[in-house]
Amino acid sequence: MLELRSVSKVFGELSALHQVDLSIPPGRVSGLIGPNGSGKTTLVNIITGIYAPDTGKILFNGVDITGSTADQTTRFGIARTFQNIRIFSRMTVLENVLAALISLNDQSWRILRGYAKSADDPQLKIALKALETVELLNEAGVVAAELPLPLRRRLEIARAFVRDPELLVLDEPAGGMTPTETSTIASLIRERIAPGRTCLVIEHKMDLISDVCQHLCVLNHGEKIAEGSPGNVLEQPQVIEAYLGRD
Amino acid sequence: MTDFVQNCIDGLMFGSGYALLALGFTLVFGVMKRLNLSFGPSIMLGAYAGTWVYLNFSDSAWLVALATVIATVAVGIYVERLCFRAIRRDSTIASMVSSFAIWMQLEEVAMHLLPERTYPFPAFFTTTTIEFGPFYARSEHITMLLLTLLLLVLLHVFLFRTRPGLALRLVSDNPLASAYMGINNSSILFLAFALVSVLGGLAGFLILSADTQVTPFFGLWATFKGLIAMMLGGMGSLPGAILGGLLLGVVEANAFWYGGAVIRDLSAYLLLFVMLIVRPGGLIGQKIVAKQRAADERV
Amino acid sequence: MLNDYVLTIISNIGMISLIALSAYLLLVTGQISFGQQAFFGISAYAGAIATTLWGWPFWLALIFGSGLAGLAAGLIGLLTLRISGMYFSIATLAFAEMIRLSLFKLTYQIEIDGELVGPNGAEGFGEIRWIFDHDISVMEYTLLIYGVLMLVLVGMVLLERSRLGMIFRMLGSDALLTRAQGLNPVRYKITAAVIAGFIAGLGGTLYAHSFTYIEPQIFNVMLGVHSLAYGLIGGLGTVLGPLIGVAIDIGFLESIRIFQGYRMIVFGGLVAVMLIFMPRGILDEARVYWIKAVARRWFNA
Repeated sequence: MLELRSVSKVFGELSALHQVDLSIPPGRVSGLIGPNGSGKTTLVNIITGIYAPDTGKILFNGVDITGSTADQTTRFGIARTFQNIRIFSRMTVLENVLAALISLNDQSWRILRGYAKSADDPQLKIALKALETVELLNEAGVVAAELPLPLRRRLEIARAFVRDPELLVLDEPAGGMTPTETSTIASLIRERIAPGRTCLVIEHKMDLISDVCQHLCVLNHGEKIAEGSPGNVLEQPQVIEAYLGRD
Repeated sequence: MTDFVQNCIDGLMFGSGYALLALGFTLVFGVMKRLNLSFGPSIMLGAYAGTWVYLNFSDSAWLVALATVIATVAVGIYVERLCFRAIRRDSTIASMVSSFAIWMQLEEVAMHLLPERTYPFPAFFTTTTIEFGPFYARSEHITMLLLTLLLLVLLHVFLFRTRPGLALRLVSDNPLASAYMGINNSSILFLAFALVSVLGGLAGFLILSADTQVTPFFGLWATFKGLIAMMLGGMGSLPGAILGGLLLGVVEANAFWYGGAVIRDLSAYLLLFVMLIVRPGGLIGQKIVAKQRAADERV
Repeated sequence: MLNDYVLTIISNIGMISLIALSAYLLLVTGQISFGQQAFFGISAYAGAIATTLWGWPFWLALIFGSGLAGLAAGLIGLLTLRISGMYFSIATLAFAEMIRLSLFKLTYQIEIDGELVGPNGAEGFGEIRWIFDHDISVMEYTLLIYGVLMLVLVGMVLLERSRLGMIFRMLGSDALLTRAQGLNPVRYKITAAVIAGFIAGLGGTLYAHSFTYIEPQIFNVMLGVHSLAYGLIGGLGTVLGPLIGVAIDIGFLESIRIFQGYRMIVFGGLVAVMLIFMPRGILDEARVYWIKAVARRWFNA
């Protein structure tokens, strides 16, 4: 579904990514792992259009989307959450989710019409359903800034999948969470979000990865060092070495 | 052609004054990533204090200079407390707006302290004209240029040969890392403001004594000139501030000669506007802008 | 009861509210403009020229002046697309000063009834006689001002509830995140700029005809910073915010003798203090939600 071919990115003197090839299979949860500084975030940013790669191509369902901007990649069907959580903090939880649905409409005159207010507006229903899935329905009217961290992550996840994206990218969904919270998020992803969807999860917490992912890709120092099923990949010496260091 | 070169000479001299003002802006921006738009008015109040001393106490230029600097520092501390220290670290724009609002306040205070429109400011230097070839220069401008160069050297020594200077440069480069190294960011901020106020006070003194008068418009004027010069050179860059000041001086001198006062001021703003759109990093370059953009978009 | 002095204050509040709303709209989309006075000024001159020199009817001059202002604002919006934050703010400042200085050079006079009429550089533009020629009383003109203001307010309330309004607020909150929702900020930033410029323009033409004399000095940075300050004080959560800010300044500070000569000291200090404790004003977004929630509970009880 998503294919990266020879993608490289250099920041000044730092080679963040070097000739990375990887492919993300449809319908499953893939994980992107690697130690800090391995280039995971850069890769995700390139996939989601935050910046363009220096070399290489990105193919989404066979279509070349290299160099697309963030709004374009979203419209192509890629949605994401952010490592350090980005939400519209001055808006309510419900409005945050509704905000994600705005661009689904044709944007000419409709842009002037009021946004989902009446109970039978289809977008309102979709938004409420998304909130229900992440168990934030009771907080629909709460201003987002007031939510504690785990709830904010759930809001972000809701906002990302409410558009029913073809590829859902979750960037460190368990960042900053206790082990209990991590396992709650993991079950949420595994049971409610992942089924029937293609997901890419970036994480360095192994418990979440092994709980949720069916396919893994490992980066180290900007290069891909392994790819395959978790059981396979996690046994490989270079992966173990990347995390634990050479003896 | 002679005119043009003469204008450039004048421009460079006057530009040195602009460079000093620009340094004040750029130092504050370098350390805090914020713009202090009250810089000019604080210098003006400093100059008013100097004038007061001149009118009521003594003719000594040194005393006036001292009064100017002390008063500028005092006002600088007021601005620092209210507009910068009190505002959250990441609200850089709020500080800018706040300092602009305080400019209004300071102007009115100035209006109350010294109600008449223009006041005499002591001439530090005697006015003679020096000629060389087909060109000439006024001695007070040459003196200003030389004193500016002296101040630059002193500033350089401070920043690169002393420990407080080092701390200042470290905080400019990476506030978080410096905090981890035990450098107290708040006191560095304070130091930066004090340093900048001293610079500003001296710059004001030099400019005004070359002019031998001070008006209530000086505050706004100094802010804009310093701001434009800084942005032309590149925000946060010391060499940029100097280059920007000189460039502004030269452009203005020529614009004034060929077009008059309005055209002169218009050219300054036009240059700034175009620079911001085409190359916001200024003469020095895009590194500053790129760094800021990366920080904004840290994903 | 409503003598001319009070009416003048009321009309000033009305006209300045327009430029305040203009700055507010841009603030909501996350752009701090120190330069809305440029559009206020462009429209003041253009509208006044239209009625005084060309004999146009007022409503046409109003649309002409504001339209020109909106266009100029759109142009600036286009030019400043790639810059944001402080750079954007300083650019708006630079542009506004360029306009003000250019007005010093604007001389366009026609002989009418044996006299030279029209803008004359630093001497200004006087004899904007429309209200005299048409026998409009102070009361009638005040009503006109508020008629226009009401229309603008209704428009802005509708905007607030529309998807476009939501997009504006999204941009103001997090432009990158807005992009990530599939929206390209460019068209929305320009739209906001044009609307804001137009609204400031409405204020400008009204102002020129109310004061009957305008000069470049009026459209200076002071006016610009004030327009910004009104929203910052009154609140960025609702269109009432900037109106409250204007009322505090013109209705309260300027009218009461005690503050004579100290208005700026108080006002400037007020802005600085607000930015520390209530950076989004008295009626900020959170407070507006709270008020709405309370109101809803009341009406349901």
